[in-house]
Order: sequence, then structure tokens, then C-alpha cells
Amino acid sequence: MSEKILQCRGIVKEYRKQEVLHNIDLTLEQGKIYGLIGRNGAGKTTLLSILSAQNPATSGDVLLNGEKVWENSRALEEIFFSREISPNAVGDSSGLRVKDYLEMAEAYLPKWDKNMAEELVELFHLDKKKKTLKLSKGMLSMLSIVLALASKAEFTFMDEPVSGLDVVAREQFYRLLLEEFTESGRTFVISTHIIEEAADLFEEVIFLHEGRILLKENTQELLEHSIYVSGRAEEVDEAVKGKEIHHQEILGRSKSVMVRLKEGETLNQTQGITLQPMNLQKVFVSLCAGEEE
Amino acid sequence: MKRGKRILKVVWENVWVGSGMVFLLCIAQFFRLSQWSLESVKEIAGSMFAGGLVIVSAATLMLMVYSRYSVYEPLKIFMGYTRKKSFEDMQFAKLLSALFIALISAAAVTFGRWPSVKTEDLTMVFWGFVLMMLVQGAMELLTILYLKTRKQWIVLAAIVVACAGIGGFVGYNVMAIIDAEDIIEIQMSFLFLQENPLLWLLVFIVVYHLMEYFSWKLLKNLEIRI
Repeated sequence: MSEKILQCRGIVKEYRKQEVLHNIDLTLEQGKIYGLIGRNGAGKTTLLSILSAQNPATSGDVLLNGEKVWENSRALEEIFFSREISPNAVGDSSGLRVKDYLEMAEAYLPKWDKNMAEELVELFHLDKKKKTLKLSKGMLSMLSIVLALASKAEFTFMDEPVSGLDVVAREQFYRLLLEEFTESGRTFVISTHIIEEAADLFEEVIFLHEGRILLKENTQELLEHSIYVSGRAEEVDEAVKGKEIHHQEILGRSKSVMVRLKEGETLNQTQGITLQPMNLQKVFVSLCAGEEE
Repeated sequence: MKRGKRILKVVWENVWVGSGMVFLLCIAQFFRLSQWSLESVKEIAGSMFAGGLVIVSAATLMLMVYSRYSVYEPLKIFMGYTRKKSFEDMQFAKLLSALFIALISAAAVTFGRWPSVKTEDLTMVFWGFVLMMLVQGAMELLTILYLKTRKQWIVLAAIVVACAGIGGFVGYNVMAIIDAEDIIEIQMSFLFLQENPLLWLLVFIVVYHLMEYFSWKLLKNLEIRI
């Protein structure tokens, strides 16, 4: 079977003439876990909802193996965005119970795994008779996780899946996700704010900042090539001259800077400066701060 | 569950709500009678059930359309169902619901008035069917407009009218059943339509299709929130 590719080309989204996504081009390959990382209001949920045809784009196309996804039943069988369930919001679905969601999923998600859903409901101690309005934020996240994992959709997107979950439940989720990924080879896109905890899961990360993709890169390579350089300003300047630098901080005569080295590239000199490896969160913060500067 | 079966499930839910309510009223009326006979059953069916069913169903169908579009259809789209299929399902459900209710009403009229069934009685049932289609179409447009704009007042007035209609009907008839000895007659009166029925029918068809056109225009790019 050929490998599936989900692409978006030139996606623009406007809300009342205000552009929230600016000409996004993105390719998602089958069999990877992507981390979608961005600040509040960066456009993560909007992007995922457009990729899954839950929301329309103002312009641009989303294609699955070259076929448009919008209003395309066949393509939509392969994509599921388990967005945050918020029964207090405008959705009017506050009267629905957990079992209503599961029944709807069984009826409308073509690859729905009922047994898996039952097992997850039990694991998370979800009360199927309970109205979603009465569920805590963590419980709603669990329901959202059940829908996502049991959907068995080839491209599964999750929006802040661990928000509201306690540390034990979060660990359970990461374990389940990895198990499912290993078994099925499905593609997952996980949007999260809890970067460090999930960083090991992501094969690739996508940084979204103010409606633009700042970066899409293999996580390991990104971390290997990102260095935090600090020391006396002149020495730091000399070391990073001609390199891709982000987010400089100057304190008196000291300077610190994040450097992204290209493949095979090294610093000009390493004497008199301190080099520190960076974690994903720091890379993200530095890149965002660099952009804002 | 297959698509057709799911539509029929919605139709069943739509039909039983209104018919169940009126049926209970008729049962209450029957037990209030001093003499129980086939004639009184026929009279209740022809005079009370047939008209009451159409009037109550017009209101309940409005609420059902609101409930489908505000709760279930967004969830279906969330789960990968296309907006087009969702809209088509709703059209079938609306048509079949109104049709089944009209058929039940027509059967009740025929049974109640047998053997002297008048054409006017069945014509009234037909106009009842038209009324049900129109109110469903109007509610569909209002609900989708509400989903698009998130302004609750758009549907609030219609919901209040529908609830008041059901409440008023049930309340009035319960009181009437308690007070009266005779069987209450509920007449559907569409006298103004008798002057020029074809013209009215044409007007209704155009209005209905306009409402459907705008409903689809709004729905086809609707953003989903759950």
C-alpha cells in the first residue's frame, strides 16, 4: 500500500478580515508523531480544524494523496481531529452523555474500534452515563483521547490532549499513544503546551507562531543543532558570526544567544564561551522570542 | 447502522414525540367519557387526534430540527460526515417525518369519519403537511443562522413560539377534557387557502425552496464547534 501524505497548500484563514493563518504550506507524512507547538492564539486549533475539514479555509487547499479533503467522504475516513470537547461553550451539546459520543463515534467513524474504546473508558474510569457538562476538564480530555485513539483514523489530530490530566493520567496517555503508534503506524499530530513532557514522543516538531510556521523539523536533529552560547559579548559574537542566531540577551558585558547550526556546521571558536545543549521548550521559547524581537 | 436506517431512526423520534403527546390526550379524553364505544373512539380519532397531531407535530418538529442542527449534525461533521450528506439526511428526515405524520392524521380522519369521509378533511391534512414542511424549513434556516452567528436570540423566539404552542395546546386540552363532557373537536382551519389553493401552494413551494437554498448556503461552509 502506498504511503499517504496529507498536505496543505497556501492555507489562509481570516476571521472578520483579520488573518489568523498566513499562507501555510505543510506536509504530513504517514507513520510519524508530530508535535504542533505554539503559543496561545498561534492558530494551532484553527490549523488542525482546517486540516480535518471541520472548518473551512478562507483560501488554499488541503489534499490527501493529491485529493481535496473538503467534503470528501473517502478522504475524511482517514482523518480525525479529536478537538477539545467544551460542553459549556456554544455547542448546545451539554445534554449529551459520554455514551452518546461513543455511540455517535461507532455510527460515523468508519474504522471505530469499539473494544478499544471500551477498554479505554474502563482504564480512565469514565462514567458512560454521565453528562459531559458534569465532567471535569480532565475527564473531558480523557473522552477526547478515547475518541482519538479508538477512531483508528490514519491521520489523528489531538488538541491539548493532556490538558487537565493529572500526572498519572498523562503518563498513561503517553504510554497508550506510543503503544498505538507502534502497533498501527498511524500518524498523530499532538498540539500541546506541555512541551518537555511530550518532547520524546515527537519525531518531528512544527512550531507555529502568530499564524505562520516557524519551523518543521526532526526533533532529534533540531536539538542536536541548537546550542545555547554564552560568555563575553565579543567572544560570543566571534563564535557565532555568520551563523543562524536567535534571541540574543545582553547583560552588561555578557551575552547569550541561541544558535542553530546547519548540518556539518560548527562554531567559529569555542574558547572563552559556554556551550549548553537546549531542550525543546527552550528552543521554542528562543525562536518565538527571536521572532518577536 | 446504515444511512437509511439512521434517517428512519430520526423520523421515528420526530413522529413519536408529537403523536405520543396527542395520543395520551386522546386516551385521557376517552376515559373521561361516560360511555365507551367504538363510535366514541372513532369520534376522538377524527375530531381530536387528526387535527391535534398536525398542530402539535408542527411545534415538536420545529424543536427537533433545532436539536438536530445544534447538537447532532455538528457532531456528525466532527466525525468526518460531510456537510452535504448531513443536509441531505435532514431533508429526507424532514420530508418523511411530515409525510408520516400527515399519513397518520389522514388515517385517523378516514377512520373517524368512515364511511362519509369528505375531501375537505383530507385537504386539510394536506395543508397540515405543507405547514409542517414550512415550519421545519424556517427553523432549519434560523438554527443554521444561529450556528453561523452564535447569536442565540435568532432561534430563541422560534423556540418560545414552539414551546408555547405545545404547552398551550396541551394545557388548553387538558383543561377542556377536565371540564367538558363531550369530545373536544380540534379543527385545522386553513380557510384562506381554499380561495386559490394552487397559487398558495406555489407560493409555499417557492418560499420553502428559498429557505432551503439559504440554509445550504450557510451550512456548506459552517464552522464546527462541539
